Amino acid sequence: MPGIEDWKTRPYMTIRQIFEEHKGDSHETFIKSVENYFSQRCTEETLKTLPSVNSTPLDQLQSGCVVKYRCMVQDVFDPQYFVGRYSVTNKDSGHTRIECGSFRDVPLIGPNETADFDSLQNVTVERHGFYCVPIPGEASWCRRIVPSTSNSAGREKRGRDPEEEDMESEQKVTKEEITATSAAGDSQDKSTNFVDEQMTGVESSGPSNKTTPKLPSLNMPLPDEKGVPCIVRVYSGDIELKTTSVVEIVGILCMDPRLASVFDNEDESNDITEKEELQAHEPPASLVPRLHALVIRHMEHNNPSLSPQVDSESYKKAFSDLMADVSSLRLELLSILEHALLGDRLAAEYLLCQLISGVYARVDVLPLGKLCVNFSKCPVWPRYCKFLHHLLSQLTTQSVYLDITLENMNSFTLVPKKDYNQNRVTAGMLQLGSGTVLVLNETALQQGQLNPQGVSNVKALADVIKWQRVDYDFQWHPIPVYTNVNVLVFSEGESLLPKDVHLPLLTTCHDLDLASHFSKLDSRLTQENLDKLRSYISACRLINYSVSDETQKVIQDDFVETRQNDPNKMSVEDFQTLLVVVRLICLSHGQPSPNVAMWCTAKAMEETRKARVAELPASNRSSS
Amino acid sequence: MAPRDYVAEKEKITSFLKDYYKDTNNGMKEFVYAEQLTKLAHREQVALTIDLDDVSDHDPDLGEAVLENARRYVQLFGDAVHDLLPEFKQREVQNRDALDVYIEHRLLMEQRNHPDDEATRDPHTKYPPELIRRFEVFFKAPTVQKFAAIREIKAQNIGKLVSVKGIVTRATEVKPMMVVATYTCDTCGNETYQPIGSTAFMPLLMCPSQACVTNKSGGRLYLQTRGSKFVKFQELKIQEHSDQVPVGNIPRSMTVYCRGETTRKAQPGDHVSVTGIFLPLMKQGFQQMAQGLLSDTFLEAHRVVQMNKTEDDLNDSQDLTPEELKMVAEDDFYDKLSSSIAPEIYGHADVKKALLLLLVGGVDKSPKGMKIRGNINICLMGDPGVAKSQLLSYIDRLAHRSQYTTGRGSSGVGLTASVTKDPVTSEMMLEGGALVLADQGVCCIDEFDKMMDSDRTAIHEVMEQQTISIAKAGIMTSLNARVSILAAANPAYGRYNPRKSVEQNIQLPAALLSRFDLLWLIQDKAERDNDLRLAQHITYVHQHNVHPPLTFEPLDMKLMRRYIALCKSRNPTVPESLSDYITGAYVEMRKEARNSKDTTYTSARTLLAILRLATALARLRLADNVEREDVNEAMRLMEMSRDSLNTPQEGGMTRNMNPTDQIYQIIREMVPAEAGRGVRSVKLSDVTELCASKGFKPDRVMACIEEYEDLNVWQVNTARTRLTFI
Repeated sequence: MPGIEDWKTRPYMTIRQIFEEHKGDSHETFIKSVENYFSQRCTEETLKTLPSVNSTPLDQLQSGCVVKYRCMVQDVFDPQYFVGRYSVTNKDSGHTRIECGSFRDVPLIGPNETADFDSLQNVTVERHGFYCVPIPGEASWCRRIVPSTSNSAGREKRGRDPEEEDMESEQKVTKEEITATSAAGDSQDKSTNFVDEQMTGVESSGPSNKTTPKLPSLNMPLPDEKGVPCIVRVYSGDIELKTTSVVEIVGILCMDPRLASVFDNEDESNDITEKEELQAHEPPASLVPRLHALVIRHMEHNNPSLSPQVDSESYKKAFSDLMADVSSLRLELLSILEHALLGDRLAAEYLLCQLISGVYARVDVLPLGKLCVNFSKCPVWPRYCKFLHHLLSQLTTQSVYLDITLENMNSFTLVPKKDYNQNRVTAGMLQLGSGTVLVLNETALQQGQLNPQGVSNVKALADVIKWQRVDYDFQWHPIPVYTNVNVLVFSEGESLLPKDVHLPLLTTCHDLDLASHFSKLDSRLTQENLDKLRSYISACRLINYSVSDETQKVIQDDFVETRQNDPNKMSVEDFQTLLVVVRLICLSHGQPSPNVAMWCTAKAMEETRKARVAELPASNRSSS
Repeated sequence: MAPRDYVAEKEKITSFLKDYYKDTNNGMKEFVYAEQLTKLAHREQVALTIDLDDVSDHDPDLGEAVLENARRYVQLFGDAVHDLLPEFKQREVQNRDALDVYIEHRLLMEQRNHPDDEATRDPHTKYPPELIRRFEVFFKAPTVQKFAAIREIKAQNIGKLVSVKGIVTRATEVKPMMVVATYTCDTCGNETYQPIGSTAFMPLLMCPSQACVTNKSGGRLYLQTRGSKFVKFQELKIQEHSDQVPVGNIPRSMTVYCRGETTRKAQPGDHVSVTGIFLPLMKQGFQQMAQGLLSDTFLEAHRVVQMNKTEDDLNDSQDLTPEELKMVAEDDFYDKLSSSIAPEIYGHADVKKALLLLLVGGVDKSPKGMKIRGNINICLMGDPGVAKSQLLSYIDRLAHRSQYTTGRGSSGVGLTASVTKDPVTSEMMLEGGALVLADQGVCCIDEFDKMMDSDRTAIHEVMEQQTISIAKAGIMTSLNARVSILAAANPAYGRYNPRKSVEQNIQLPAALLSRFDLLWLIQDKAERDNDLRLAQHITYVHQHNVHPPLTFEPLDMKLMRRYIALCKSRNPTVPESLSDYITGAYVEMRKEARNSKDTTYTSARTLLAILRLATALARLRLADNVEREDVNEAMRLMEMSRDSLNTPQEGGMTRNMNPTDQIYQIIREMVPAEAGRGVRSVKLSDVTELCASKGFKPDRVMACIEEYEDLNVWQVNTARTRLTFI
């Protein structure tokens, strides 16, 4: 057996060894035992020492090494068939050996050897290709903390490359820029940049900006996203990877330059369409490296300060530590949110609920647990929503900001679309990983005309809010894909989009300097404090919730009683919303099951909210 | 596995082709393949399709072997047919094209040059069989083989005959593909042939003929287009259809190569089923070096069938097994079936029954050219948020063939049919809308009230005549749209106002409303029991993430689908004896409608509706005759749907029933309705118990029993323990 460190740097040796051991067995058992071998070695500790594609520039990673990669599946390619076991004959010696075709892109054939592709010993097997992108909207703090002890020296040596300088100068202008109502798709970058003065050399220098027209697009869901996409090859058939799954992959990196030349030199190729497809599926490995997956893990959260596995001991310990001062954390967070929402306590409560909400189950098509909050009567200062989003991006792991302007709606691609020429799914902005906070700024909307694209975009947003579903455009028919996105809508009047909860803001302060207002929070958002609050939000989302029979009975009786008195007072939808709110209140207290007091709090919250809605001018009012 | 003896296999194939026959109806033997061989020999037919059912019938082993190693057997069959053809040639055939002439010349020359000796011939000048063959062999998969989804085709299927379903996303133009390249030498004039098996080939350059080789004259070869053989070739890309894709997954696609007669069978957007051989294709040339071990795969098409939505899915509808039949045919099967519709939606038993009948449908009749539709149209109205859409989408999923649209989203054109111009050929094409696509099925239209008036008129024709007429862009035609329409509409004023008529409430013209057989109003009413159950249901759902366990086990969707398909095959008739009863009932209804201030409308269409419902009920029992019970149930449903419209908000459905009627209703419902000719009786103690639980005093019950006993509706035995219906 190879040494303890060898599997990281020379995985092919290990695989070769396992291959020899399983000569007589089927391909499946071979793949299984390779995966077993590696997953046994990938403990939480060893994972930390692996270089990460997310945080290390590609030129510092070595092809043929084991790396890890945190990503979201963007597209699923058709399976590829390849020769899993083939014989190679040496022309000089006439010696024949059997080679393993798995976990490689380029066959291992020496200069004076030929592969025998028609040998009877060859086995044709399949592998699956997944186009993966870095998690869209991932907060910069998430990326930064990812520990990677390896080759930190190399990073310093790299010093400043032009791109980083670019970014810094960008940071200088961002403050001015934010004041302008630039409506471009600056969802992630600017907002993350504008406090992160200290971030240098962390962002992997994704070549996304430099894409020349000749190169295939990197297909990032958010247009301005940086990072390296990868094509992940999966060899075992029983791993379920769907689009928008968020996973961590440990695999062998392959950046063989020979892959790049596949389409460069060849002009005899049959069809133009086929060539396009080939380009999309086999982009140069320097842009889109290949990753041969050894271990795949679904991520329940991507908060780096918590242990990735919820049932691990370290997570449980961190959780109980957190929950020890849950009430103070909750109050702290509430007061921060209250300040940010210009002194509206009730809105802060709802925002907190919104932040920890998430679809926990689906009954048929009905998603349970989502809470889309619409804050109306929002101040129309253009910067306000951005400031708020910036705050949220510091607190949550993934967040995306979108101005709902006519221009944006008419021009953006929100819905992923199948490109039949390239035979892949072109990414849309709504292709987001589970748990992403989507902040929609409707105050930016002016009167005007929506084009068909705009109409379908608005419909797509409505579908996300109502059904937590995005209908991918497959030209002949839509393919519904479930999402789990927390939507927050800021609007002047009631939003035109559907919502679960509509709350007019009741601001106590007017006409203030936003920058100084929000900078007051900075003193409270110390690193330590932030870490706690982030962990608190992530942990609350993951609590297993249940309702005891007694509480359930109280709730049911209450519903019946209210209906008896006045059927209009509580409709079925109201009841559903209440159940969601009580769940979220309970989770925000770190409790697994609610008590009657929480039910009453939820009811009181809803009643106050409804009273506020009722105060609105009649034209604005409809069912909340 | 021991290698097969292919010579023996060929013998078997020859005997199969020659000897296989089917018995025809009139006792004659029909030699299916021998007849086709004759046609092939006379060049009247090109494709020979071998039905593997027949092969298995003749020799099960052979059938199995073909499935496993289809490519090889295509060759074997080809050889066998080739050898057999001369035997079947009965007369000289006219030459049809240049290649025929060419072949004839070569054959003559062959005979002249080499009258007897085989040995001296150069293998390169021997004609490859592909050049001379003018027929194509295709396999048809056995009927037991299911159509697989593309994602189910895996590496282990390579080399096998598989059948897949999908939607065509790309189709190349049909191009000629070289099968045999013919060269002539510029020095010695010899002809050389090169059979081509893959997508690319390296042209021969040097003349291999004996003359050139020995003389070292270095004769150059030139390709002869006229002497080469080409076949039609088309490449298709098919993609999984949305219903084959598991939730959240990206549909997979597959390349299909069509050759010869299988080309031009489908266009982009068509739903097709393809039977073919799944084969790997090694990358060629430079790509192979870079990507080495990868191989493309493709499906070599043997049969491409466009599924025009009428004769597909036959494979899915196998007959029910006896156990399943028994399960379905339990006594309460009507209730069971209906409550299995959207089991997660609580209550609405009658609505569900109506929906079940809609799925089954009545019997179409066309007496003397007049067409009376059998499809049942239903309109669900109701306050927002009463699970209308959920019911609709469940039916959409359950129905064998269905389309779901919303009134807001689809224009009349989208619903019916549109004329479009093909961007490539600039031909005018008719594209069926939702209603055409749902032919022989159900079209669910949500938000019916939101539809534009002009669009709704298109539906008038569909709902009664079951056709769609198009007169657009020079195309005048009438398309079949034999659909049941299931519409859902919201009341115009937000909530249903019981003091207004139906037309006013949902602002639909009476002409359209009367075309619906049943109109249901589903109201959101505050009732203690109901609310409690609702609350329990919702909290349960939120707690356990699933619907609460049902008190009964709902039938499996697939089973229901198959049972409904079975029901549809029956064509029950209304016996003479019942017609009086029905007319009587109808007259009664008309009278009633005139007398009461009814907000609904009773017309001749109502009578037809009752007949439709009754036949649907008979179909559901798999009976051939409509019985009185069916008519009663149909009328009851009718009544219930009316009641739902007429009842004021408070009071419930039993408003205008006196206690006696209510008790009668209870007792009637206790009797197993479909027991048919058996004894229809209930225990009196059960009756009193049940009635007591519903809040009726025993003396009331007794009064009712006596009253109806006097009317000779039922009898009570002398011990007064049992009540028997007459």
